[in-house]
Amino acid sequence: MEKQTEMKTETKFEKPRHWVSMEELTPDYWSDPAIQERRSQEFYDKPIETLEKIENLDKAGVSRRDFLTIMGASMAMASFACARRPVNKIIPYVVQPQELTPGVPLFYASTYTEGSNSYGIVVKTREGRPIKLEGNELDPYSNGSLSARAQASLLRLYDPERLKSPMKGTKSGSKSTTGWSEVDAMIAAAIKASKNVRVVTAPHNSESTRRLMKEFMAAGSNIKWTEIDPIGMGDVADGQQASYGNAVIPNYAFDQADVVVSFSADFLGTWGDTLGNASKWSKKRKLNKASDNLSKLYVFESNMSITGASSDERFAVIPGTEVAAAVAVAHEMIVVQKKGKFAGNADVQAMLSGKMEEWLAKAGGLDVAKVKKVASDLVEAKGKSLVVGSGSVALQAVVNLINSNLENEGKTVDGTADHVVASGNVKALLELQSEMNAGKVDLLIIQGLNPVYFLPAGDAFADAMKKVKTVVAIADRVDETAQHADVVLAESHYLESWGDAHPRASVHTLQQPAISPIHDTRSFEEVIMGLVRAGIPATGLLAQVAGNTKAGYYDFVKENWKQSMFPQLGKGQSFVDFWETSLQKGVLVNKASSAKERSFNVSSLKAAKDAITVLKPLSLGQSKKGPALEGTGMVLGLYSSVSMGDGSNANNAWLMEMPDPISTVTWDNYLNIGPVYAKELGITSNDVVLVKGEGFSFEVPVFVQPGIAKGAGTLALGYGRTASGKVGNNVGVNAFKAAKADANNGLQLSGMVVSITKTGKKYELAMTQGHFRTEGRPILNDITIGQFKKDPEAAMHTDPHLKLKEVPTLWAPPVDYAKNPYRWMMGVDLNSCTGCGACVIACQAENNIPTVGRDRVRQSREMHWIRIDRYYSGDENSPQVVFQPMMCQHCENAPCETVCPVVATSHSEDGLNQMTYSRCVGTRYCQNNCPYKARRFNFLDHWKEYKDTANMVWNPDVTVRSRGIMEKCTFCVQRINEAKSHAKDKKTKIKDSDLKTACQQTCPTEAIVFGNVNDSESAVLAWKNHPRSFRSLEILNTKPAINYLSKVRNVEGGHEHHEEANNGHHG
Amino acid sequence: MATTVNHDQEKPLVPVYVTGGRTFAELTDDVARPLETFPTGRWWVCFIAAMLAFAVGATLLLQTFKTGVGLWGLNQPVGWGNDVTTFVFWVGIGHAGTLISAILFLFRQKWRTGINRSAEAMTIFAVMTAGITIMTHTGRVWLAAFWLFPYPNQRQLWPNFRSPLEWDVFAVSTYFTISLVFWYVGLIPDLATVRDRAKNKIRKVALTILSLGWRGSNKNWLHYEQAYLIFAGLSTPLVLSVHSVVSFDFAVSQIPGWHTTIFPPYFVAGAIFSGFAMVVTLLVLAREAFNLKHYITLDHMELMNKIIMTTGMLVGYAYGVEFFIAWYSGSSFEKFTFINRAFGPYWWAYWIMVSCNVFIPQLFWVRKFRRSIPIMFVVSLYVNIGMYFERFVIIVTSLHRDFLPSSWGTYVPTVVEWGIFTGLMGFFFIFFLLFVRFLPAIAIGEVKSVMDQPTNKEGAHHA
Amino acid sequence: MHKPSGPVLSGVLGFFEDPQTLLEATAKVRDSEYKNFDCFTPYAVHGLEHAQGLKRSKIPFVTAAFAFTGTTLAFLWQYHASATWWPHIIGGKPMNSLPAFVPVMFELSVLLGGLATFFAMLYFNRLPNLKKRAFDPSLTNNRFAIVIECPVTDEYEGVSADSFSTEKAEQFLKSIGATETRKVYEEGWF
Repeated sequence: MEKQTEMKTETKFEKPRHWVSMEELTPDYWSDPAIQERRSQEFYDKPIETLEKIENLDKAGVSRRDFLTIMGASMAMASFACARRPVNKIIPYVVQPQELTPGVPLFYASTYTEGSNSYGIVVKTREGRPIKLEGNELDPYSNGSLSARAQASLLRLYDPERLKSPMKGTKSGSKSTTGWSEVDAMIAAAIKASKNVRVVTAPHNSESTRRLMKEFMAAGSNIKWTEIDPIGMGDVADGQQASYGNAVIPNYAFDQADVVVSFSADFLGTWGDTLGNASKWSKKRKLNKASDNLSKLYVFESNMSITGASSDERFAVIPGTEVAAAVAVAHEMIVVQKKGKFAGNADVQAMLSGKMEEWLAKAGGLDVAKVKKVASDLVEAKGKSLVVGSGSVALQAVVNLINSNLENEGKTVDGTADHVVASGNVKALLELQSEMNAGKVDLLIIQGLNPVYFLPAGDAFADAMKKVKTVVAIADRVDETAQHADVVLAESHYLESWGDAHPRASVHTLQQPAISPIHDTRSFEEVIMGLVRAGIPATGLLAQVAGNTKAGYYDFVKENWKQSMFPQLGKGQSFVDFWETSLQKGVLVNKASSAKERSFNVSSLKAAKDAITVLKPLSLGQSKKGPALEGTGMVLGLYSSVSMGDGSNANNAWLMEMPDPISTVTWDNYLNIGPVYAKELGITSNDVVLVKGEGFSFEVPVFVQPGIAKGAGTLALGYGRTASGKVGNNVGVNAFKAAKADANNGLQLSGMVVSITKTGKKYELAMTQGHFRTEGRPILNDITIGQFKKDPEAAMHTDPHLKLKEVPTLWAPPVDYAKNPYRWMMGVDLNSCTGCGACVIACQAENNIPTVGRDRVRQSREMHWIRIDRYYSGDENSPQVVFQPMMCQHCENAPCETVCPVVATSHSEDGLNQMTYSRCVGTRYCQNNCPYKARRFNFLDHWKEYKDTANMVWNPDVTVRSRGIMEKCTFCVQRINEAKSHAKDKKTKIKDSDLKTACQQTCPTEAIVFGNVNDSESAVLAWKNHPRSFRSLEILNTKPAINYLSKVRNVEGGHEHHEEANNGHHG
Repeated sequence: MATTVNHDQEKPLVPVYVTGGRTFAELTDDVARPLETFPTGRWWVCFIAAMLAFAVGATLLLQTFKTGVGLWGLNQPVGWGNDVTTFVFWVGIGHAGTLISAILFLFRQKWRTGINRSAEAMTIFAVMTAGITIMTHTGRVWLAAFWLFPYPNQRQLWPNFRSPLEWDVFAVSTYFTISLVFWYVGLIPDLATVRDRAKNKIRKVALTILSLGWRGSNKNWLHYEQAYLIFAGLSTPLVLSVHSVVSFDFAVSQIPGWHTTIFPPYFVAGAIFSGFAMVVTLLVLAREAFNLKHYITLDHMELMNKIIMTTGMLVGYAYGVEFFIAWYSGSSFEKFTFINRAFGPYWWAYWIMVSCNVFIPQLFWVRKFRRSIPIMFVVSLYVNIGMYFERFVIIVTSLHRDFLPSSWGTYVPTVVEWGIFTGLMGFFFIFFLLFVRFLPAIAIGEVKSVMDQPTNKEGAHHA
Repeated sequence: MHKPSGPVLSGVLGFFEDPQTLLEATAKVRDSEYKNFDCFTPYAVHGLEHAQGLKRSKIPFVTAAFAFTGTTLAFLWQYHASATWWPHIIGGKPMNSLPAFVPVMFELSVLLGGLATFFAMLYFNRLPNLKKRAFDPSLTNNRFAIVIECPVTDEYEGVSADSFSTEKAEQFLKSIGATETRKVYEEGWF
């Protein structure tokens, strides 16, 4: 085609070397437009029509062919008018890739990175599309589990609002797309022209990236690179620096600790290596027989986190006063009880001098006796205990002191061998800001960070950006920060790009792309490489790879592994083998040297000393009802929620609709206030209050949350985005605005004194669980270790009156399930479940569960197949929490089956309660009759919300349900059938190892097992006969296929069976 | 030498079912005249109103088909709301007709003759309305419309005969068919009567066909009476079964508040209760509109009011027993459900139900009220409202807080649902108005059989 | 015998003004020589069938037969649908859940019984009747009548065709209280 047009433009005529007819040798042949038109059709796809056109026979307006086409189409439409399923075009492969069989998934090992943690993952792809992420079982820290956020990161790949190509003129407002060659040249020029180039990025825990940057910066000395982890563990690193002299994030051995004390460190949900923490911690919570011992978890925290919810004893403290509590514990231990290494140490004594009662009063009036107990328990478990904290450097100092004092340092705390190397925190960013203001920065390249959003004074940063000649943002959307950049480079999703990670000494992971970039995008490394190709001098490997136009970042990673990893890990195999096995495994583990004990630097306690001396006892202002509320002093604490984190995933509908594990609120953040305090202030849930503080004020709905100290309020970060996309924009308020940030302490998220004012407005929060009490019903079993040891049978029945193992039946069951080769059952351990919600999202991804939006959740029409019921027991102010994952129980006597008039739901011989979508007419009778309310009805065509690229996330093995259809947990029947066919090929039977449901696979604490009870080795059979095993609502004799393992708390004495407090109803 | 007996002076020994000493001829005239004259303005107003209501309902129903039942207020715990409430409401109303024509017939209650025709008509239209409701409450109407009926798919998959909803399909359709046939059989002689006085040719032909050429031969009367008796015999258990089966929808499931053995009798009583209330409502209007006061007399009304009061107390008793059993069962779920019914978020619905169904009918202890048209009209309306709320309370309050507190919720009907409800009302009244316009609203033949002897003063020369 | 020309005589009709006289008269006709007669009334006059000497109707047997068929069919049908054609495991219930089948069995009995009754009634009454026109409009309104039908064949117990005289019949009807008599002819409706 192009050739022809070129020819047209040519003036001078030259004879074609090959000619078909004489006239081709004449110039006027070529100049004849009709001829050109005809020749442009290299192959006549519609010869007749073309001729008709050329011979312009189409006087009729519509050519014969078109007429036929239209007629055919209309007939097709007529006959398709009643089809319900979306009709999509499918295009067969012209040449089918040999490794790909349609219908058979391919798995690629890759790496998921979040903050300073990287985990090996396995990406399931179908016909070239990633459709599900799973943890890589070779990863020693995640053990194959994955967090909710990681699971949901898949949806971001298909986010229709991602940048599709580089943009320029974003700052000026005249946005326009541009090409890479152009931006490369432009940026290269800018680098050459500028004295001072700054590159700030999110943490890349990657040796290759670090090498790439080193070689990139080596040539030009004007470039400086900083990695920043905004709400990571900056305080920990600084604390370690102060106490031990190396800025690391230690590796905490929760599996070695019999007593764990956490000061506001939500290590199961959002703090540090959550997957590793959770899996290790849960190892000490499995209670298989009365003689087993159970680790004990004390939590001092301001917000009600899932760690606090899973604790045995929880202390609600005023935000920012954790240090006081910590000092009190240290004081009791070292000064009073004179226990531990520093018992005799005068300096330490001096640092800890003071009155315990005062500190605890300041911390929110904690029970002195109980805190003393904490101290003595810690002492008892000397060397086998662990203290963690989050908040301030001062707190870290005390935490480190206690750990060193108890000789946990080097045992449960590893700061020397397998720790995480900390990256910079907000401090560095603030330094950069001042430099920018001083006009010292000519070119700023910012990647994976959104400081305009997450800095308390984000606008100030935006102004600082104006002082920079050129700002280049590398992002997958024009976010709050990118809006102020001159150029925005469309960044690839991590599933589209090559890379590797080296989060800690013992772990090397490779990041393989599972799909080639959907849009015209580049990863950060590719951008740098592009700059080098555009003329920026580089050294070493980078220069070499960039020099070769065929090579890409892949070659860089490969070469880097050849030079650095291969020598130490590839024992006696060729590099090719090593490389290929590494790609297959994805995760390589090398022995980490054993941890050494570091000596504690007492002077670091100074910070703590200062901190507690400046702490003033909390003085609440007027606390009468009504307008007198004006100016009530309240201490605000900010926390990162399990789903939203720092807010970079705000446009992810899966995370937005994921119920908060504690409040079960979706689609908003809200001010948590304790019940007593709320009563005093005369405000209730859904009241909108005005929160005023130094330099900020916003209106936010209140949520009355049991377990928040009086005078305190907590608010989740990550909401209130303004430039994230349709889903995430203007959802909730931006809590970062309430934080404090200064160059000495970095980002401070707690301890701000604010005033709250009742606005009289109401805002209905979209909750998935309105009622918080079990009402003493035989739903679940929640006992103490004492009760369990006294009588393990106590855990067997939810209802004290029930003592029958088998309820006699009037008739024989229709089939003998025991005879069938398979009978599927599930076990759920309430003792291990932390409520983190990973299973909810994994299930959503696996089973094509749509999101429904805030209003539909308000109408309680959410579609999640697993919901995590959360019940409180005990006192309203310091409640005990139990999580119960609730999904279809696949009852043997299923009430839903009996009532369906059209046999749309029936039982399979291997014990599954099956839902036949195509047969369902939607009477909703089954849902009414389900005692567990586990069934979900498609009131509307929710799948239609998944527009353009978002459609690609559907799992082709699972039907996308149209409206008017009932659905529910299927025990991942598609996986069962896949496993069955594999077993058939191998002529074997399915074993536990061959089959995992999505929820089970992703669970970090192994709280879910699934398998075949007719298989004597199966774990699920063991759980069925487990001393803690019970069935929910067994009194109804529905015979559920899910065996729950009782919650057993490690507390003294035995609280009443199902202890209840009244009126737990919200909204 | 005609021996015509004159009863004018004599005091009747039998109770008077037709007042004003009407003769056969006058009776025929009174009943047939409305069918032969152009409808009154009043009729037109009602008819157009009904049409409009139906139009609204139909539009919203179509909208629901297009968008999905998401337009209604239903949600995760509450899968049934206004839709099924309306269904039970109409089925219930559909009971009075057959009851009157069948059970009262077996009990030789002669007074039934004045009202049975219109009551039966009401039954049939009510059941039609109910049928529409239960079909359209499903999520995929286009499939429900035939999969619910016993019809196998190509792999010999039949409906689930264990499901109460499937029993409903049989109960309701059988009830409809039998009531229709019963009604038609009753109509045949009257159609003949109307035929024989028809002037207009087409009218005559049409009526001849409809009346199957009935001539009133006594040999026919013999079989006719026999068949009628059998119908009465069949319909009596049928009418009792239908609402029992409807109550199984709830009783056979195991939601606290539904899972109760008292439901069948309780529902039947309620059905008769609401049915009679609707009959009173309609007849009060009918006898005003078509001056049938001589045939639908105050005595008729009073008797119906007595039944309303009695059945009203029956349901009242049922309400009480439910509470007792909930307490007596010792099941924490049951106890909670009933306390929640009376004092939970839906307390208002519960107390509306109790006051409309139990308290207000107590007025009928007073004879003056029993015989006062305005009062009985108002009371009957209250009973209709009360019975709607009875079903609402049973369905919604049981569902919205069942076993797991975690999944409790609330349900508020949307505008769309109320619109559809109104539309169905319209649907019902369209048919009823057409009925009173085109068919004899009183069983002429049967009334004649219970009239005291005719007094044909000038009867001698007719031909 | 001679073929009658013009409209075929069907018999002699006598009007009666009230049920009592009709009843007495009918009894007299029954006991008279005229065996072939029928009464026409606007409603079912009580006791008239005895006066007329009619046998009980057979409809009940038809109804019973069909009702039982309904019961059996319903059971067999549900049993096979649930247990043999394509058995499904439903709520742990046995394949043959008899108690659950009872409602449909009952409903089908009633349905078949009822429909059978209706059609039996039509059959026994020779309905729909579109051939024989009603003798007089008043007969469905307010008057009663006895029709003595003239014999159609020679062999006719009681009076023979030839000996049948309409005058005699009319006289007889008058004598037993008919207020008015007339000859009636075979006529169709249209």
